[in-house]
Amino acid sequence: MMAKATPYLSLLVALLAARPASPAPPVDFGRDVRPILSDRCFSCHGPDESNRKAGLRLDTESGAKSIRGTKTPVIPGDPANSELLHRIAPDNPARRMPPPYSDRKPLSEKEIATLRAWIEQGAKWQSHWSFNAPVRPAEPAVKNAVWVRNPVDRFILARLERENLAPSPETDKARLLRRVTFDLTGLPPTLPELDAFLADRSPDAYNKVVDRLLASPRYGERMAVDWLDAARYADTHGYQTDPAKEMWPWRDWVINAFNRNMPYNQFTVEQLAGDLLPNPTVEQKIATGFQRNHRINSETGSIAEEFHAENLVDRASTVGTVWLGLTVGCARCHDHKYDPIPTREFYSLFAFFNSVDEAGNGGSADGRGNFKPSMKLPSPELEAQVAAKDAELKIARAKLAEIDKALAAKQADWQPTALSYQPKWEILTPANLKADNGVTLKALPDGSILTGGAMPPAAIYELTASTPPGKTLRNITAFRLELIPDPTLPGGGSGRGVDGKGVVTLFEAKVGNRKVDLGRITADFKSEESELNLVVRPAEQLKRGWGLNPETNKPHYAVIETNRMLTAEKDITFRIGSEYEGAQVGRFRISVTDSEFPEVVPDEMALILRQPAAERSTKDADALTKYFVTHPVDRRTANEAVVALEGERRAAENKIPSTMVMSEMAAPRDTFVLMRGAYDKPGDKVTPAVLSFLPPMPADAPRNRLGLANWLVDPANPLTARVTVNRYWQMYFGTGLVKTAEDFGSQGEAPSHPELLDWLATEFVRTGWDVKAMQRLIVTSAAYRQSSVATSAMRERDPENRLIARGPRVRLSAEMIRDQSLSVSGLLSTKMGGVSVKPYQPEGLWEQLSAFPGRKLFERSKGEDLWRRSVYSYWKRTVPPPSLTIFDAPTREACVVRRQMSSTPLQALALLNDEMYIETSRKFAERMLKEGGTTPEERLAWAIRLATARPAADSEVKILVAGLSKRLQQYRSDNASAEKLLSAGESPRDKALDTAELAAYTTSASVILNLDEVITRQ
Amino acid sequence: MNPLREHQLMLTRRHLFGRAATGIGTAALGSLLAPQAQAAKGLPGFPNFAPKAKRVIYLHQSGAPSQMDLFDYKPGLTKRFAEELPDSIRMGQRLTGMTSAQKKFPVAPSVYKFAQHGQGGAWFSELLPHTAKIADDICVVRSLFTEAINHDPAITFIQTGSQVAGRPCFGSWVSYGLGCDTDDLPAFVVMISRGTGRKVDQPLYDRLWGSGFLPTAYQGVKFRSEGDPVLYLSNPPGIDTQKRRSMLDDIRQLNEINEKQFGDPEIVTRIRQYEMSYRMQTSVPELTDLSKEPASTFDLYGPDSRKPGTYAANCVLARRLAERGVRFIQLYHMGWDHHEGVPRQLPPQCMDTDQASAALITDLKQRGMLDDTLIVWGGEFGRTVYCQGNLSPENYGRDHHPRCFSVWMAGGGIKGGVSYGQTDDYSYNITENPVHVHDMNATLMHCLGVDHTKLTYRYQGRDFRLTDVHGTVVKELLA
Repeated sequence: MMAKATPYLSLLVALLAARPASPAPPVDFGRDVRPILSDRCFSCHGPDESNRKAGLRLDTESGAKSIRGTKTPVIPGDPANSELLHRIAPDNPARRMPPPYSDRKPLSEKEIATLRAWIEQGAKWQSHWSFNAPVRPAEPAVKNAVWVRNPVDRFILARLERENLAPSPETDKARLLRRVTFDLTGLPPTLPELDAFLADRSPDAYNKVVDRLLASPRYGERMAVDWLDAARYADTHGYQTDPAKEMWPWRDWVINAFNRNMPYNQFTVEQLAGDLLPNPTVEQKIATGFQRNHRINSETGSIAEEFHAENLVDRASTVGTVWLGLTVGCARCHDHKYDPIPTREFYSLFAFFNSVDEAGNGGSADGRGNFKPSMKLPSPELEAQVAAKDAELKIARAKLAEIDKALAAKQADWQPTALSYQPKWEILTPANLKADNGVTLKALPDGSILTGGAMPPAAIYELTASTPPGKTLRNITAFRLELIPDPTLPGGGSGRGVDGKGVVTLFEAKVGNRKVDLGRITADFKSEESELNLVVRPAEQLKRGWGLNPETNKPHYAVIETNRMLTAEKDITFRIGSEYEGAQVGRFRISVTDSEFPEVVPDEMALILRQPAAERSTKDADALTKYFVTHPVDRRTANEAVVALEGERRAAENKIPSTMVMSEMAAPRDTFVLMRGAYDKPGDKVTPAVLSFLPPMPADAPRNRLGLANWLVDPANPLTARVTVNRYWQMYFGTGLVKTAEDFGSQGEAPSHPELLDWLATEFVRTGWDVKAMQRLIVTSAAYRQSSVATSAMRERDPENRLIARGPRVRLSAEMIRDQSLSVSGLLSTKMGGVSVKPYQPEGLWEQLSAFPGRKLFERSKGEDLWRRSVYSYWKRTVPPPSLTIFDAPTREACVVRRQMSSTPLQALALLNDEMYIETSRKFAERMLKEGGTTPEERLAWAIRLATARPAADSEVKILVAGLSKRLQQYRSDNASAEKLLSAGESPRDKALDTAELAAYTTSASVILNLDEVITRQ
Repeated sequence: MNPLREHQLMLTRRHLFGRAATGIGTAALGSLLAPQAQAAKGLPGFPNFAPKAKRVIYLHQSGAPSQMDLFDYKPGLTKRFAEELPDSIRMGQRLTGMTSAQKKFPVAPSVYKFAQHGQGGAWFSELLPHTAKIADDICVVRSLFTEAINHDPAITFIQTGSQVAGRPCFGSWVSYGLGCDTDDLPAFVVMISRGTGRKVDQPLYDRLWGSGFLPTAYQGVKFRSEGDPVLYLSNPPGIDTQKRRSMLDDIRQLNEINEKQFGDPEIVTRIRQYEMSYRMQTSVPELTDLSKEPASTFDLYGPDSRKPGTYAANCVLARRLAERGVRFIQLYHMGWDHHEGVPRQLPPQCMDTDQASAALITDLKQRGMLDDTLIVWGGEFGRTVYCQGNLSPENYGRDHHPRCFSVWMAGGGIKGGVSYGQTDDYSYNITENPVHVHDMNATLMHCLGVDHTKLTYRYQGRDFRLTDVHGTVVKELLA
């Protein structure tokens, strides 16, 4: 059995095998033949013109049936002369197609027989099924009409009757309620909900439940999860350092749209082009975040054009997958091999998204981490705070302007004395001398410090200094660091190196725990190699510093200015670095000043000052003024007030949530075909256009995103409605009617129930794209309500339940598993929306992979935010939450419309040992003890019912009670263990309950939460 | 979706259900149906031919080591110090945004001494004294090249064959195709260490060991040196082994009741996963406990190997994982991205890795495992010969360079003592025997007995593979 047609054909084979031999059934081109041709032939003989071999194409009827030289590939009714059959036959290995080098598998006997039968039966050609608009089929006649609850069932039943199969009986009410509650809200039913449903004997009891669930706000949260996968929604940008962004306003828009039952066509238009609607509302603009959710690479050095192209490919591919069910991205580098999508048309689709006012590598982010275009959310309170700061700023700026008026006169006074001026320095008295690596420090009476002891390659000296008692240091404008020669040092110099060399590599000052913000450094002398960057010194910098060679035996000083004037009520602690090997600092002294002009006048200023004022060039005069104005204390004070207020204003403004949106540039960008998909190899220019094999856009439709969005939801579009209802079907049955939910093209799988798919698609459009109505239709069908119990014979015949002869049995999604345990434990918060939350996860996950060792990155949420629904969990793309990814949640790096479903030991470990599940087990156990009755039997049966909705069997209770008693005994003799177990999680524990008993019930609660049935909808 | 594989699974199920009625118990069913059991066996028909290597230890040096300071000896550059890189060499090739605005591209010769080692006479810089000693066991490829110029796309490319996120990584492909030789450990294990040369360096991402569109069961399992070695491995405080066992017994019995009613083989699979998780709780701590390793091990791998979480300690663990049948062992060592201060940042990186990498080869050899273990050492791209930032005779920085870089390989299927490929006088362009990343990956697959064009997975209507539609096995590298 060969690749492409396998699932369908094998099913067919399986079903056939179960019956006595019958004549070959009529061959259906679309279902049986095209998949074979597509998979084995199209890559060389298909739509991709530039790679087509021998000029032969088999994806069109004329290509297959036209004579070529003396031979014709397909002659209807004449298999003997159809060249195609000769070329695929195994009898001539050298000529056999597909050739061995093509990586395509040869055709099996079965497939050859299918092609032969097709030709014998007249070689009827059809275009690919999904490319023709669905025509609403008549509802088929069925024998067992009493089973039918709605039209869906007619299609399912007709097929079953054709296969001589009967549907399964309806599942019991309890299981049905659990199934539908999960399916529509992502949560299990509560016990009151269960009791109410069981008590309701009215014929429409179930329909009432469905209406209740569809009206629940939990419905929108459940529906949003799948849409968030498709939209590759996350809370970080996703490349390299994976910086944070803010898109939760868009996520909340989605939840809200589902809850308001926004029609799917409107849902589409607003997300792709809300900004282009007339007078768009804030909400409509937020919706356009859909196409800003993709990853953005802001890695230093990344080339903007390269990632702009990647982002557009992502957008075009996502539209292809989500609305069209087409793998359009394949046409990025070459014409699509299977579907009629030339490269040129791919770039025409890509062109719709090319004129957003954005930078390919993000550019600079707003205060919330968002790249432009972004939009602030209306936030009256925060906006008022910003306005208040603006008012304050106005006053502060006016004050500064006032001072500036008097500056010219002040400067004139200063200029003549500038070069001769000597600031007054206050020498600090050192105390608490400390040095590392064996260096000793000694205070001398003049306030200086002499070093001694070991001579390590690097040392840091620490000291605390205070001024003479009773004097507070105010308005410190600078520190002075003197290097003082000493007769005890080599060569009578100021350092301990050869010839008295000493190099300072670091100068740091702290008041209390706060580092003093230090700025300009000047010195009266420095060696040629010196680098006066003693303050800002990233870890990576070479250890250079301030040295005095060749004047090591003369006193010199450096002045380190404060960026903001400092008033130190406490002592100041200094760290002086001497990390230049063989050049230890020998004797030094620290002073402070409040002088307005503390520094050594820089050479370039000295030069200007020496010129007579009248002879200065304008440029020099400006430079001098610019230099001067940073000095006067009153101006500094006023300026610092402005700077501080600006900072406060920014902080207030940065609290206003923002979200990334779409907006068009005034002049659209040109779009070019990118040769082989490379951003730097532009080819022909293209303009926005839709795929030409699909119905055209109306002539008067705008060639922009709005035109595209309207075209996608035009009822004439054969794909959108089919693709969408198929995803809904997949939500309930685990597998879509088209299994390849992401690919409705030539390589996708043919639908198991083509008529049903078309009926649903046309019904969806007919009801005005009513999303809730479509969910109601599916979950109220008899097909959905079947029991999922299956005999081994039936499982053998249809292991994947493609015939729907039984109800769905599907493992819960990652989010449902987590949310269920929160729900049964009573911890679940129903708070909706807002900033994403960070529930429990193992320590160090973000930190291990981060660029910044030692920096704490993950801050766990507190209280209620630990127990929110999983749709609100913070999604860091490069390190997504493991409790969700272990259960197959995708990484949200790219669009996904069909999740994996795996079963692994890591899932067992997570469910058994994750702190969150221990906590929910404890709270579940508390409920068992308080609400579940008085005996272990009652309590455990109560718990089984809460977790599965059905009553517990005696055999189950027996097993649970035996396990509970065993562990209870152990905890009774080891209370410390019980205490430890019960300490997991932040939620308070009910201290009134017996410790050992609660611990034992906690283990049993964990057992129940780990059962296959509990993590499954069955 | 892989229809072939699905079909086989379906056949297996059908076959077994057919026989189940005649007495094969559910336990046997489980062992045959469980994905993990399937993973343990790999795909039918794989390996495609007799493999030379049974497992891989991939020593990825993240950030990109400088090839001309380690392997690609360019003596002629000394006299070209600070000369402008000739246009005839640069040929207008694109640069990263970090240096494209530089006005000058001055040549920065390596400050390190090189010498030839081993019978093959391969060149190594003085920073790699231990690697030099195993020269005859390894094959140095000096002509590897890649397509990406920034870290994230480049490391994603070399690990998954695509610059764009979403494809399975090498280790996932191998464990998907070949399965695992152990029931107690995952098929694919990842370990991470930080460099001491550049502490603030490139980050890593879960996607690098992700399974992309392959089933989640094939993703790499990260072993950590702090906390649980495997996430959620330890029982919570207050639950000892005895209680855990009793809980698992409850779970199994209750699951069996449900299985009898619903007959879904997924339930049997689930039962099996719980048993495997229990075995991992023993096998993983036993594996990561180095206390029983003799002193000679730590002497061989160097003093760092006693410190959990270091590259050297991870190399010791890599050998222990290899001994226990783990298929793909991936190490990441961070800290190689030296845009400035190469002479200050590169030596500590070499100190981190040189001795332990060489020790791993020596150790495997003395245990007779080198012949069937494939080892790869290298980064995601190379570095530029021209200086980024200020150039002095003792100090220089180097930007990203995708056009040529050096890696070494050793062990099963690889020819030792060989230096392959040539670059020009500036280590800027390849002049002889270019090896694309896809070629390297095809060659590594070949050593594992896998035809890289055959290990495919159907997704979105297309058969994807690690090497996309490219890759040629480089026969000259094969033993």
